[in-house]
Amino acid sequence: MRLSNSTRKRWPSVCALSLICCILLSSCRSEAGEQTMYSPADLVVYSVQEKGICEPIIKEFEERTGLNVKVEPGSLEELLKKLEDGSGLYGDDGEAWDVVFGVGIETLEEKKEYWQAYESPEVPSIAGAFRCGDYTWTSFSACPLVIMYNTNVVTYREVPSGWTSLLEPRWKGRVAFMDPGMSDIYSSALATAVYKYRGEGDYMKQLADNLEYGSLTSLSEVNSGILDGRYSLGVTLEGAAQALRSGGADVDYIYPKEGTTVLPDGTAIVNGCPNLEEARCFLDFTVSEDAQRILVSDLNRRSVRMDVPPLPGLSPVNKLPITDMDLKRLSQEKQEILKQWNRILFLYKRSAGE
Amino acid sequence: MKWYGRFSFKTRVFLGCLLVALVPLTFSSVVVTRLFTASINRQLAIEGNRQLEEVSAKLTQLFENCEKACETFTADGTAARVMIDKDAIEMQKDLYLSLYQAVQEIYSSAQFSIYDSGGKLRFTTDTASKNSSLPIRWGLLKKAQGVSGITYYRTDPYLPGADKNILMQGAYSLENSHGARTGYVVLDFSRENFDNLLNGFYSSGDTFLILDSHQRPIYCSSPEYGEKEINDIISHGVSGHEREKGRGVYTRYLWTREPSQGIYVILRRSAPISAEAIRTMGTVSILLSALGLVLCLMISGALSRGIAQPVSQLDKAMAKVKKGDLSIRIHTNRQDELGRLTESFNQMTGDLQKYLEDTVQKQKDLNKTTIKLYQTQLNPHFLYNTLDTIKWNARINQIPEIAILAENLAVILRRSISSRPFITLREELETIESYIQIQKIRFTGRFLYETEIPDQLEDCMVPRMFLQPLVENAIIHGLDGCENGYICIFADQKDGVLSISITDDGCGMDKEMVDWINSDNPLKRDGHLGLYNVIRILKIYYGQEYGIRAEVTKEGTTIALRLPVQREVTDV
Repeated sequence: MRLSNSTRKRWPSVCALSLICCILLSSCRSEAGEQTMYSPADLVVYSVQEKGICEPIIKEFEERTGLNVKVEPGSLEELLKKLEDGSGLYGDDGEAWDVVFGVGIETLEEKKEYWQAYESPEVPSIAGAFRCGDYTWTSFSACPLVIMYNTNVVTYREVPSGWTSLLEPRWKGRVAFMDPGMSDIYSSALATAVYKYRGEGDYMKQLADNLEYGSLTSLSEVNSGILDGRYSLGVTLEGAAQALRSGGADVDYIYPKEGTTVLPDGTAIVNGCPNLEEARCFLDFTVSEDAQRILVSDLNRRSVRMDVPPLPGLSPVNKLPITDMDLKRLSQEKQEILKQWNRILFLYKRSAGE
Repeated sequence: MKWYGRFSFKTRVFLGCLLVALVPLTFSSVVVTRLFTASINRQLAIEGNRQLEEVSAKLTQLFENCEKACETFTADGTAARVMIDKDAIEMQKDLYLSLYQAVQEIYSSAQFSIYDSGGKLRFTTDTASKNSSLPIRWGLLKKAQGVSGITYYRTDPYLPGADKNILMQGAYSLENSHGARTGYVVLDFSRENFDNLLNGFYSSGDTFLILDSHQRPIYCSSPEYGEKEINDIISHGVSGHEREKGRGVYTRYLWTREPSQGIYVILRRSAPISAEAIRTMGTVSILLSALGLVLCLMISGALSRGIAQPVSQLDKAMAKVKKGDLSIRIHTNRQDELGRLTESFNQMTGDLQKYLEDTVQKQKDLNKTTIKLYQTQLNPHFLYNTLDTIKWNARINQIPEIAILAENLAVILRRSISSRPFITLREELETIESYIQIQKIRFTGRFLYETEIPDQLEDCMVPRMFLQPLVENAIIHGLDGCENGYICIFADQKDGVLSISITDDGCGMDKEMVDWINSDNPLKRDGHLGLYNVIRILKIYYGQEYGIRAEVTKEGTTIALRLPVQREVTDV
């Protein structure tokens, strides 16, 4: 211990030195964290809806109620995946979803077990076709499918009349159609067209042939493709077509005479959601008259309420040629149609490969 | 600290230098960098908060001004009346006048419009054309219903009918004297208005973001920012994750909330020094440290080598010396302490070597002498016997001189080859007596011999045969040519010193000889070997202070010997 004696003598200086170091280093420490801006969301909405429709509704809801709503934008596929793999309805950062918004009602109907029933006081105003029998979901808007065409390249004599018009040889390679595998809208459209087809041969095969086995990947591509003349005509939503037409674009649209589908979307409250009161309040708001009116007047959608008429110039829903397919049938057909469609493409690719 | 002792001296010097040079450098560069970034960050936060406070105050001020303007405008009730009474052109003119007056103060901050209760635009200060109606069951006017004062509303960018240039709107209910709502005063805040408001509050690197009470963006001071960037800023502001990973100066997100309307203001302050610059600083300090390390390695290496090399050389040389190699020498050019030490070492080994060689030489000489002595002792018995035979033959043949000669010669011979180096003075005197007997026969009694020795001194030990050469000198040289010579041996003792003097009254000796005898260390001299031997014997046995002195007077010559009184011989 001879050496440690000498160190013991040096203790005071060693201590002083360490103290100085500590003071110097601690002065570099950042100042204590202040309170954060974070305020917990009162309601979490999972939205499959287009942003242009979702945002105004959410904003107005926030303004009226003073609640903070967190919107989790997503896609239908993502939602279905979450439902199927059983990971639960949670966002990426672990927040439980209260409401799913803008999901096609056939999907809502199919996945009934995930939603909880709520009978909104507004339900009596909703048109019978858009009502849910056991109130597990509440419809929000309807958007019929139309065939839109560019008035510059389609003469009045050539104006399409229905689903069969898409098969006309003159439009070979000039039909804008999105891959049904990627879009709920187009699989519904295809299902409706096939269901209504009374002509010869296989509708899908002929359509694929007329599309030259090519399809687009997004709805906006379809719209812009028709608008700038790359395609002569195509299938799109009434709202988008109406917006373009009223915006002065050289497009017009028709409702297929055989019957179209209206693709209603709806809202559902997630089973066991943490903010039930707010979720119900939101659901009431989506079908309230104010919201439905703005939907019609500014957002180019059709209301599901009977007391909200469509804009002047649009025929009311009950005057439209609507298919008589029920939701369950549509849902089943869609899956069948997708399988067939993929087989056709597969066969084509194989033959092209050979 | 025991581990420290395990290192060699050189390593310790080296490590010590390294530590002393590197630790302060590294420490100071780390501390300086950290202090620097910390102070910049603090400065950034303080300034940012000040800016936020100012902006917040400015917003509050704006809201107050708007409120005031609305109140002054509606105070007299004409505005509310005009809304119902559509035809009064005069009143409309007055209304415009009072409208312009009321908004003078906030003209650059907002545009005023008046909508009737059906949401139709009636009057406006805005020069640009705008929507002629607002929905009354949605948005701004809906929110304004049933609220006193101004209601602020973020314009919905997704609503197709909304004016994209207007970022925020405020609405104030116009009520007539009966409390019935007749219209709305609507304030439009455009991007330009916000730009004007915030102008001068931020520098080019900063971004202001104004959010409504639901934390949705109203205005961003960087018009080029899209939704993604804005959401990024918001999420940073909300989460409070202000820093990027790692140290250094970082972009800060500061926020405050305007108290009256609950509007959030987020300020993103970019670091005044880019991460690149900080990294460069770090790199420079690392490079400096590396340079310091290299210099330090070189200098401390040289220093430790300079100190440790001679030491280790000395160490090795010492080990060789210990093994007996005295020829080792260390070459050095140094002038310092270590150089001197090395030279001293060289000198020391040199001296040691020389001493050792001397000793060996002496030993060799001694051996030679001893051998010689043994050789001389070979024949004495034969000589004694011969002398004895001569003596007895002389007695038988009655030649007494020969008998005396032979007898005394035998005595001298015995003494001279005796193995004892010291004998008593008495024995020595007996030898001298024998010698005198012989010389008396040789020189037929030409001289007189006597001794004056006190009895107590006869036991003193003296070197063997040391008086004989002196007596011989006195007889042969001193009394040369004298008819009646006289030789006296006189002994005396004083203070432990035995003085023996041999006096003759002969012809004396020359001066040179006297000086030679009296010198401290007389050199060997031809013809005086006996005298020289006596002097050497005395010096060797007893030391320098003893010896012989010669003195020549008219009466004769006296040779005085000085030697210590010794009763017994201790050691040679």
